Amino acid sequence: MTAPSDRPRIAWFCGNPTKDTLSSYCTELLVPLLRERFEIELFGDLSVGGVAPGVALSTMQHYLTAYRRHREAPFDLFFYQLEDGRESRAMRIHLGLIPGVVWVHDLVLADRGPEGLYTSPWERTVEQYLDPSASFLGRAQPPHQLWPQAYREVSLAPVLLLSSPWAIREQAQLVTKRLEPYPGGQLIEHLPVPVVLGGASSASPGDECMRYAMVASVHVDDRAYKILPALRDVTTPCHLTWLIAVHEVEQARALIAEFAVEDKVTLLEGRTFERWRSLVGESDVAVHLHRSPFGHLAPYLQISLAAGRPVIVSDAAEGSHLPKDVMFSIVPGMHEAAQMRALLEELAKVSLAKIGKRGREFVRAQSDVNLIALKLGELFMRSIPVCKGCLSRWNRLGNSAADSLLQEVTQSRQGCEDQVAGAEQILMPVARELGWTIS
Amino acid sequence: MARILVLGVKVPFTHGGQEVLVGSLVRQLKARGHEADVIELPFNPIPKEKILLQAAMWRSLDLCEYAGEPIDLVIATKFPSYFARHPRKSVWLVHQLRALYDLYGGPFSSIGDDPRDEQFRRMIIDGDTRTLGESAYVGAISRNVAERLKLFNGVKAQVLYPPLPHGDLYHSAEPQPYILSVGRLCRIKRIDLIINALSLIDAKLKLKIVGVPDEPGMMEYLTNEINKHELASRVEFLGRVGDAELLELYAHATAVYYAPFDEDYGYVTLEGMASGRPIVTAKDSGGTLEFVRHEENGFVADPTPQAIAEAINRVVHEPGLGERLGAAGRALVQDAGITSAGWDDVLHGLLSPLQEPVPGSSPKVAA
Repeated sequence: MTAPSDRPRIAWFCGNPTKDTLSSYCTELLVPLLRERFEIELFGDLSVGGVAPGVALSTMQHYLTAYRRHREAPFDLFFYQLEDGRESRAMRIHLGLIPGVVWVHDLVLADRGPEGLYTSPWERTVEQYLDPSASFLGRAQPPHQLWPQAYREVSLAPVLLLSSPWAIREQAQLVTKRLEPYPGGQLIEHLPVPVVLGGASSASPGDECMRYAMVASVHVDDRAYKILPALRDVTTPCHLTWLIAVHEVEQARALIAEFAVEDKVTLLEGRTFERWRSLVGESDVAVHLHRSPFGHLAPYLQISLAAGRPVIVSDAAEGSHLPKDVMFSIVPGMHEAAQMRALLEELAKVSLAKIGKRGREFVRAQSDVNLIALKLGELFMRSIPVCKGCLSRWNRLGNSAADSLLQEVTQSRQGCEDQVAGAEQILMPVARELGWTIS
Repeated sequence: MARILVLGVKVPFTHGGQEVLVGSLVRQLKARGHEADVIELPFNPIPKEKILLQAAMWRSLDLCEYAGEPIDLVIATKFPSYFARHPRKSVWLVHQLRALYDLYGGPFSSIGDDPRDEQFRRMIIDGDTRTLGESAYVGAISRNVAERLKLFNGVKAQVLYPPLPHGDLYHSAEPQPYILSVGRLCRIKRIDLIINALSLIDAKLKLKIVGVPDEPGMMEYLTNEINKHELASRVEFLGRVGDAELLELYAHATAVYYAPFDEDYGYVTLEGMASGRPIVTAKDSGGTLEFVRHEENGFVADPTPQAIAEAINRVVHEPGLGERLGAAGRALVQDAGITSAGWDDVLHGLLSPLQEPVPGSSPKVAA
């Protein structure tokens, strides 16, 4: 271990580093920029995949060992990112073990999570945190089942960051009981997903064929089945390159065949952020039609805008929050394909370069990685006193839980009352020796 | 010669790898002239909070002497036996309380984020770290177990693969049309996976299942799965069988199925290999993957009925494949030192504390 420093210590939790997850993307971009100001230790679920591919993630520790590191060298703040999917499970679980700042990328979760989350008594835990006189849930009493919304995770966050402005409004309506660090409540901020701006790539004009790039699944909410008929019917020359996850390739091929657009669509297999960056640099317009509260467009949308490309989005969920002058929007519904076809024909006549430039300026002001690192650093500094107060109260709750647990151990079962004294005589000396007794 | 106590943990009404290991170890110690015996305490996982008391009971035992004569060495095996205190403590770690470690948060763990559960988790992990760390010698039954120990507790262990309990008695014979499954009937052993695969497997193969249930409702669940797929005529539950019968069952199996979730070690894998049978395991089966090589001595399949069935059908339909895989497995068992000869290495490690004097007391004992 390195020598202690004066920098605030952050326990930074991240999803499975072997996959292109949003949390690993943000971690790889931001941790190197924050390490000068903060001493950061990374935690994740090492059992679900090997060692991280990136520099920042290569020092990851198992998330279940974080409490011990905290005891050896206390952290000032625990930082979690919440996204929908199996990769996020360890973070979701650990948030209930030690609360902290949560950066929410998905507020609505299709992944209901493992049993450890189903059986979480988090509502009672929040009540006990707010009112130390509240009792523990009876062992036989089943806790509430989780809803798709991240009620539990948002409730357990004394500081909440949301990467989508859409999610801010939603969470205010959804969550009523939280770990309020002080009267008046939770610190809530909008923090966009970062993007590296780099130099603007200029698409080589070449012929007059308009080149579209799309990243989408075959799922109905990603609207591929709307753009494909539009491409079939459009009269201006155009071509779509569709970046698709490997496991969906066969379904995508079937869709393309169904709409008979084999000559206008190329599939690019293997959905990664880097591949999208490269593809969008060689295209004229980027298509991001996902329209559901389940899921999000980040960071693909930000990468497209940073590359100076106009984007086509759905006028729903996240897409509806973009400024009107950096995008073209389609209203989902009956006339979607017809709208899309009209738009594709219209696009041949507009100055895409100007729109792309405005989009790039928009993400420069909102999402530039240096700016986000600066903002996150400031948020950490503001959050540290909040989190310290919260951790102190959380520790008191933990001590109370330890006392309650040791009492349970020596409780007798009916008919075995005379065993209590013996159990105490055996347990308590060992508990003292091994540091199990708290108070 | 030394007086040695082997510390075992007894889960009433079950019989598994730990019991086999403890029994074999005591026999080997006695065969080498040591005075050896077993101390067992019962282990009851329900209710979970009482596990603390069970760990404390091991810690409270005075194992330094018996009837005025010193105990020279204790060898702990499975959680929580290593909580026992002794100036010369060896550990041959079978496994820790996995619900707090690698199984945490999943379907095989009942430990959640209730603050009492979290305190329980920390107490046991800290206790493990302390009591394993204080040991004079730590071995682990597989690389999988040793890696978990290093990852979660920071304690290093030497890998000591348990030699096979029936030494050189394993043999190979003419295959008969059945798949053999051996092991306790519980969720983590995934017997349901092979039952669900059976309807996709060549109909001339039957499934013979050795082992008894050790989870409530397990037999009913498996029976229901069998009836659902109309497989009653193809599945035979043999219960617990004698050693001689087990050796014959291995010898004649077309293939041995053993695909638990993240197994610690898995005697069954190696017993099947020693009998020259191809092994079918799964990609997430843990310790079995230290031995099974895909298409070299068995199959490492996805944990799905389709993938398991596909692997077994290949053994049936590709002439000579079963024999080739089985022969390679048998050779691996010979090379890996897990036949009878492997006991020399195991005992060299476990008895090594006898070479050191107990601090401030008796001189060293001949190992």
